[in-house]
Parts: sequence; structure tokens; C-alpha cells
Amino acid sequence: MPILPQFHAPSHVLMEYAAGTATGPTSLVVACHLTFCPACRKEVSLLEELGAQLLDQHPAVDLAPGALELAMAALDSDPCVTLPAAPSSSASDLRLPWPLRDALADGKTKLRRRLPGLRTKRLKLGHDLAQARLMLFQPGTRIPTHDHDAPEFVLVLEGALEEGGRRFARGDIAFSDGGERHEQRITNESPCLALVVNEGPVRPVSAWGKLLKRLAGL
Amino acid sequence: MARATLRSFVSPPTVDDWLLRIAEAQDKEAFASLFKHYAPRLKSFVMSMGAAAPRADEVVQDSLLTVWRRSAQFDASRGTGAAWLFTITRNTFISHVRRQKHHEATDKDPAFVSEAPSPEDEAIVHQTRRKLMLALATLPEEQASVLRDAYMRGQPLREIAEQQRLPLGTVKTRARLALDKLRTVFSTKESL
Repeated sequence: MPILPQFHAPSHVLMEYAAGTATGPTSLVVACHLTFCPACRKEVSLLEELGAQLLDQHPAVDLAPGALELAMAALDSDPCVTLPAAPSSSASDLRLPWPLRDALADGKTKLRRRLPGLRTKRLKLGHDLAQARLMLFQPGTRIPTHDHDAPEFVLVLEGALEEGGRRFARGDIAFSDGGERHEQRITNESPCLALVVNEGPVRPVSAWGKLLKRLAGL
Repeated sequence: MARATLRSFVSPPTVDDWLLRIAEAQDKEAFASLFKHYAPRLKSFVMSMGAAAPRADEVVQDSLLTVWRRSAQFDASRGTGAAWLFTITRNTFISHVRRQKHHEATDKDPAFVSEAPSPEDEAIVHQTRRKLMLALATLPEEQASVLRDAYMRGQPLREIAEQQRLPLGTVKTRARLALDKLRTVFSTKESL
């Protein structure tokens, strides 16, 4: 029996995901969490029923003349049942959730060394402000105190990190809202691989933190 | 009041039947019925999300053709046909108009963590939907309007706050209160 996540995305974020208004990076981190979390999947399915409900109350607008005939004619040219292909992956990547493997466009998870103890890879999701990065931290790494203009999601994929006496492990999301200040530490026993999404710039508090941020290319 | 609301809001139970007929027999008549019933509403939805009429027609066409192609993937034990149509149209809008992607988990993923066995059958799915509908009708207008702006106009909460000149925290609280109330439909077992 796998261990289920203990820390989740806030409900208003799940709502934005279901309504389709989440940014690409947030949609990705939520989809990865949903891979591990039956409880949030259930919540999202309720939120999608809500969407259908609101849609039912919506007024109707006629389509252009001939729309039905156009659709009927397309049925024959459209082969039934085309399933999306699985993202290609080596066996070592199979522990990564599918949406993440899919987003790693080049199919490689090679991370670049940025600092001692830190390797990163930026995901290209076509969004200016929000950023998604895969980050690999060595055991015991400390992430200096920083705050944000906008929400931050850290989805733990391997290993664990600690923040404010809480321990986040595989499938957990450490969420901080805009304006919150925090510091995190990777536990000592193993490296930590995480999908980190920032909806806006990260702001280290100390001069040391600012230097590290620059060196890490964040 | 509740009865009138229920009758006027309920989507025909035939949506699921149409989908099953399409999946099992590539039934074109069922597709035509589905199209006639849903296309005008989907068009209005896509337009209120910000697409111009000709673009909205394209999104609706593509969405319903996706429904035709993927009908075998519809699973009535997981959600209603209406919710499935909503998600397909939402995803098509995001990819065609916003040029983005709505990322989704899949149970074909080796990393997927399955639920502890608690099979929901179709009756429960539809019962949940009926309860959800009644709960939605009892929400205060200030909460219901946040949900409508988010889902039907495609506005992020931040944008809703700016437009209504409210602090973001207030809009988040309204959304949370609404969702807390709607969530009770999952935790209460008694029928209506």
C-alpha cells in the first residue's frame, strides 16, 4: 500500500485547475500531485461536476448555419479511438509522474549543476511570469529564508524536505502563498528531487541568499 | 423553490446514454442528438471565456469530434457525461485559444497511486450531481458569482479581485466558503 500524500494544494488552487484558469506551470504541478493523491482527484472530479453544472445554467448561442452537417461529415474521416501515446522514457524515469515526463520535451531529465548540492532543469511551458523547475538537492542542503510576490509550490518527488517542523515526502506539496517568508531544509538521509513552481519572482532575504539565487540562475 | 430549480437545471439523463451509444456502436444519430443539445451551450461557454464567435464554432466542433473519437474513454462510474463534455471543451479551449496545455494525471502512469477500493457506481455519481446542484442554488450570490466568473468567464481569482475591487484574500475566502459548502455533498450519505 503506497503512502498517500499528507500535504495538498489549497482548494482554491484545485478550483482554478478545474476551471482551467491555472497557469501552465501550476496546472503541471497540480496534475503531478493528482497522480499521487486519490483524495485531491476526488475533489477535482467534484469541481469538474461543478463546471458542468454552471455550464448547464449558461444561455445557448446558435452555431453558424451548417455546423451540424459539417460535424457529421467529419465523423467518417475521423478514425475512432486514437489514444495519446505514452511519453517515451527510460526505466529510471518511470517514477516521475506522466505529466512531468510529458513536459520534459526533450525526453531527458538531465539536470545542470548550478551550485554545490544543487542541480536544476527549467521546464519550457511557455509562460512568462510563472516558472517550473526540476531541482535536485543534496542531503542536508538548506534553502535560505526567502519570500515571494506570488505563490510557490514545491512538489517532492524523491527524498524529503522539512519546513517549520513539517516533513514533506513523495507526493506532498509544500505550498507558500505570496507574501509568506520561509526557509526549507533537505533531510539528511537522501537527495531530494522536487518540482518547484513559482508564480512570480523569489526574493531571498539575506545578502548570502541573494548571491546564491544569482549563482543558481533562478 | 428547490424542486423548480432541480427540474430546470438537471441535464437530461440521456447525455450518458448518447455517449455510451457512440462508444459501443459509433451511433451517428446519438452524436447528432448530443450535438444539437450541447453545441449551442458549449459555444456560449467558449465565447464567455473570450473567444470570438467563429473561433468558438471551431472549438465546439473540435471538442465534439474529440468526444466522438474518445468516447470509449468515457467512464460513467467516475463522473457524469456532462462533466466529461465540460473537461474536453475546457481543454480544447486552453489548447486552441490560449495555446497552453491543461496537464492531467492518468491511471496508465506507472507512478499513479490508486484509490483504496471504494467503487462509485453511476447512481452515486448522479446522486452527487443532484446534491451539488441543490447546494449550488443555496449559495449566497457573492460566492456564486466568484464561481461563475472563474468557470464561465475563465478569470483567475486575482483577476476577479481586481475587477470587483476587492482584496485577493476576500475573493479566496468566498471561493473557499462556497467549496466547503459544496464539498458536504461528498461527506453526507443520506439521500435527498
